[in-house]
Amino acid sequence: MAKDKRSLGKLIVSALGSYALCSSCLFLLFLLTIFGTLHQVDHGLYDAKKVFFAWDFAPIEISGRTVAYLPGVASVLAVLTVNLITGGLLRIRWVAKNTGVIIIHCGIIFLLLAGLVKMTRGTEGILRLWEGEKLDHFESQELWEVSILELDKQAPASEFVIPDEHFRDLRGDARRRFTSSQLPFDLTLSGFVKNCNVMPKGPQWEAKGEVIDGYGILQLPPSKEAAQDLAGIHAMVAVGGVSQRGILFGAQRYPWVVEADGRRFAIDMRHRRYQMPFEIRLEEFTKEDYPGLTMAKTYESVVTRIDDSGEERILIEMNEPLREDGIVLFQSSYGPQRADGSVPPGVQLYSVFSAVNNPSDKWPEYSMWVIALGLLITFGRTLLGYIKKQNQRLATPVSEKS
Amino acid sequence: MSESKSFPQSGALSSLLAILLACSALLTGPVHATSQEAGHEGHNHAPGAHGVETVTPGEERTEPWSKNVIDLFASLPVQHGGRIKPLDKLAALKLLTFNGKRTLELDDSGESKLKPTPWLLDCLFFPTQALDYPCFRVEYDAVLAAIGVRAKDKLDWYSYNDLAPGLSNLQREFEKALATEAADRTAVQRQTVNLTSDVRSFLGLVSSLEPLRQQFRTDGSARLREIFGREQSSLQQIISEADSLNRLANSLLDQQNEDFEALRSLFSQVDRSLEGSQGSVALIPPPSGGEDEGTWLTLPDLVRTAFQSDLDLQQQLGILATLERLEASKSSPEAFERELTQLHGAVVGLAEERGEYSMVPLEITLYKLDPFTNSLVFFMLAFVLLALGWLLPGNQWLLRGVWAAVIIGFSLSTVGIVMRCVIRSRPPVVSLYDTILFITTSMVLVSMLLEKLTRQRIALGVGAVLGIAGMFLAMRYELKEIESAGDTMASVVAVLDTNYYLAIHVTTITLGYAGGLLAGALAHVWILGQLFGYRAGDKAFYKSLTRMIYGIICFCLLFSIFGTIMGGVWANDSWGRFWGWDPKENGALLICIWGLLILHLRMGGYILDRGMAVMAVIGGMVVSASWWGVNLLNVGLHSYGFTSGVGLALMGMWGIEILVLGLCGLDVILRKTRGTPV
Repeated sequence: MAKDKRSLGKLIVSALGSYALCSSCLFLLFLLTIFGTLHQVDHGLYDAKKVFFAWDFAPIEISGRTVAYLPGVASVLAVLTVNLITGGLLRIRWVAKNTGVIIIHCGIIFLLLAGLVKMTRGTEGILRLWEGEKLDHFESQELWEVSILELDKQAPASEFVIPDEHFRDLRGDARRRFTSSQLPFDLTLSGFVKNCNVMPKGPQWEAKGEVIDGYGILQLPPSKEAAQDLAGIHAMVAVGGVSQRGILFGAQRYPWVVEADGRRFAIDMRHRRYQMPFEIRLEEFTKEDYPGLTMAKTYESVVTRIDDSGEERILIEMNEPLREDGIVLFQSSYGPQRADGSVPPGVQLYSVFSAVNNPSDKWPEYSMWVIALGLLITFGRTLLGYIKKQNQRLATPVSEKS
Repeated sequence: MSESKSFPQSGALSSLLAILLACSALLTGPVHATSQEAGHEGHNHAPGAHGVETVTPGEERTEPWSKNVIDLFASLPVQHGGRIKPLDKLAALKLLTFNGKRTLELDDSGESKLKPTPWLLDCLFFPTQALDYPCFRVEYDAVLAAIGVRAKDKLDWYSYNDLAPGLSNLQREFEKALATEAADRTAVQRQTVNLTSDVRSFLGLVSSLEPLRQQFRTDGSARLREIFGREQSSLQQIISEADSLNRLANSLLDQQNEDFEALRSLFSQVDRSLEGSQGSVALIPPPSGGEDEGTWLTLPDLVRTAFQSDLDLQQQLGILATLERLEASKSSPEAFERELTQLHGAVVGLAEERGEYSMVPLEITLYKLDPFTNSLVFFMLAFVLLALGWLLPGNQWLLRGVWAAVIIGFSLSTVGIVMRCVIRSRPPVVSLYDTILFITTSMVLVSMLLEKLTRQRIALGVGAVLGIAGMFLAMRYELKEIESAGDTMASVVAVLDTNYYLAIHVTTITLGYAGGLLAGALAHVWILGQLFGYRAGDKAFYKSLTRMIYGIICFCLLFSIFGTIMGGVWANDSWGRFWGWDPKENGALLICIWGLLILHLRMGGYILDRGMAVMAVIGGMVVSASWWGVNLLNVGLHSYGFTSGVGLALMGMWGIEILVLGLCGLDVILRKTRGTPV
């Protein structure tokens, strides 16, 4: 057997750009997609995304038993991207025959890049507006934050915000102290619970963490839809040697108000807010049902976009979002609705918009056209070649064939 | 989806009187009922609580309906499921839902079979007779045992009167079944829910014209006699005099005397008579100028509109008067046909004025042509001729016959798809049922093109087999689609209301499915051919087959990748994200990944011809999982595609495929042990 005399560098490049690596990545993606899809049935999409479609190793479970661990989709895609660049762009022969393949690979790399940008830089949430109401921010449906706002202060008042990546890991006795030179107190958070109810402590249930003023946190299993989870956490405000304890809860109607140095502060647990560069006011929401049915045929919102430059009336309808200043607003739903989707009689409807800030918003569409072009060239050539050969075969006399 | 004309919103007129008494204000509330009918659920009334009691024991039909009557009745436009359709279609949908077949088989009648339109005519005009028709299909004895009705055979058909003794028990079992999440219900529970819904729907039909058969008493009230000119009144008279009755009600508010009691009694009689017909046929085009101008009226709707609005109802009252005469003349075939002609002219005229009739004749033609069943016949004929061709190789006439049959079958299904597009003003693929028709037709087309290129008779044969399988599947799935969506051309959810994306994304992704399935089918020929020694040693034949499989996988990949990314672009415009790992999206991605995997394994030399065939068979399984499997998971944003009850069939298909793959593996082992080429 002849020895491979290529240098180590060339061998590495060869391995990175090999069909074997490409096929392995594709097979892993295939498995991860299957298991990630099945995982959604019991655990919901949000959990599946975190477990399977991220960077970490994902446990593969069969009948409730973990049988293997596979690298997460994001990791596999990263390797596949390297493989694509190495094998599909660098090592491939840049000849006319491969034009289509090279274009396809460029398109796929661009598509993966769009996904990476969305994953790392994008934010998304919802806005819910009744007619006449306006908002300058949208809220995440899954992420939380703790906000601290000084009351009784003339506007503009500074708001201090602690995103949940700073307290999501606080389980058991773990606690973390947050300070600011502008605040007259320290805030210590502990015992984060992803989904819970806060209620008067009774003998029938065990509270998670400390019971405060007779109230405790009842831990609940995570919902299938992460948007339905209500987070809770214990909080302690320390001023000098004196401390006040409280529970912050995602569904609390009023914030926890504490006093320090004669100033009052509202501390609140809420879904994470993202500021928009403009305000949106809902002027009119219209829903049209199919005749004789309580099924919406179409629904749309007339909104006014308000910023320093003035006001502009805009129609947002299904499949026709508003794209302004990097923010995209989609008409996604309305309410209130009954379980069967019908609207209770006599209620005023609110409009629900999905809001997305995605720097790579249109990139997938561009990549789609690039990939389509590449596919057409590649398979078009293959088809024409096949037809040509086939016609030659059919034209060849039987004796000649044998 | 829910019909807004379903079960009684009890006491439209009595409650009107109550309102009048309470606040002396005339008529509040919407013109149309907003009661809900959520598919097979959401009702609170016992099936036997109303309806059958209101069906007046009466005449029985003594001779068959004439062809003219059937044709006129079949082409009457009605509103159902959010659109205008011929009454024949409504009859077919209802009968298919109850009966599981489009034809009702009668046990002991002069006519052995009834088509949908005559059956509906009987339900409306001879309800007592219709109560004896065995139109409810019951698959499980356990459903009947639970309600105390003796089962005939394991799968049999029952009339309303057969089930009547067990209706209160059926209601109890229905409520028990509803307590279980829809996805977790057993087959018996599902059947219980469906049967309850069907019985209620049937009662709505047979009670539809009940108010027209009644005369309403005025209880000796002088004021009412003054209005009607006699002691009794018909529904049409009451509606005609709605203004006078409203004024009378107002004037009597503070004098609770005999006239007031008579008026209350009259309203109460009308209410009771209308109760059963709440879920009846919306046959009357609405007056112009109302709040809900698009919604056609049932009898209860017409009464409500008359009493709660100032709209001009002259044309609607004309239709009602004709309906009353039609009902009264049912024992005289000539008079009935005359009145029906008049009714037809009036309703069609109004529908045409409103621009809602144009598609009705086309839809009637579609059902008369029955292109999909007929295409199945031609695909079967093609297969039979092909099989004969194996016995008589070289017979060109047989080959021409196969070609002709496949082309006719393909043309019929194409015509059917195009007609459905025109009727709905939608691209070809909107529902799961559409996907079956479109995928089948596409596979047959690609098979014909492939046959034209290869001339091996393989692609043509595979095309015929796939045509048979697809059209058979369409026939079987039609009932499921009707059960879940109410129609095979149901209204679409708001997010799908975009013909651009429907035309491009859904059509291309469905073409991808067609390619994947066709490649899988061709791969079966390769594997089974090798297994059974068909053209053993003919390397060129198997090479040619491999090239076909490869080409079709490329075809699948082209459309799957474009369609999947296009779906992402649509999702980006509708939901604000390009990719959300939703099960339906993942299903499409799996096809793309599998296709890419095959190509790269092939290019890398890791699979040869047999490997390609094996991978293509697995590809077919992946396509079926994406097409049907993910819809069974009932999670994700593509809720409009959810379905149920096809899991067993899917498992069966996968089981067969695994068997084929197993046999292929066994073949390899045997060849290796014998030392013959793999």
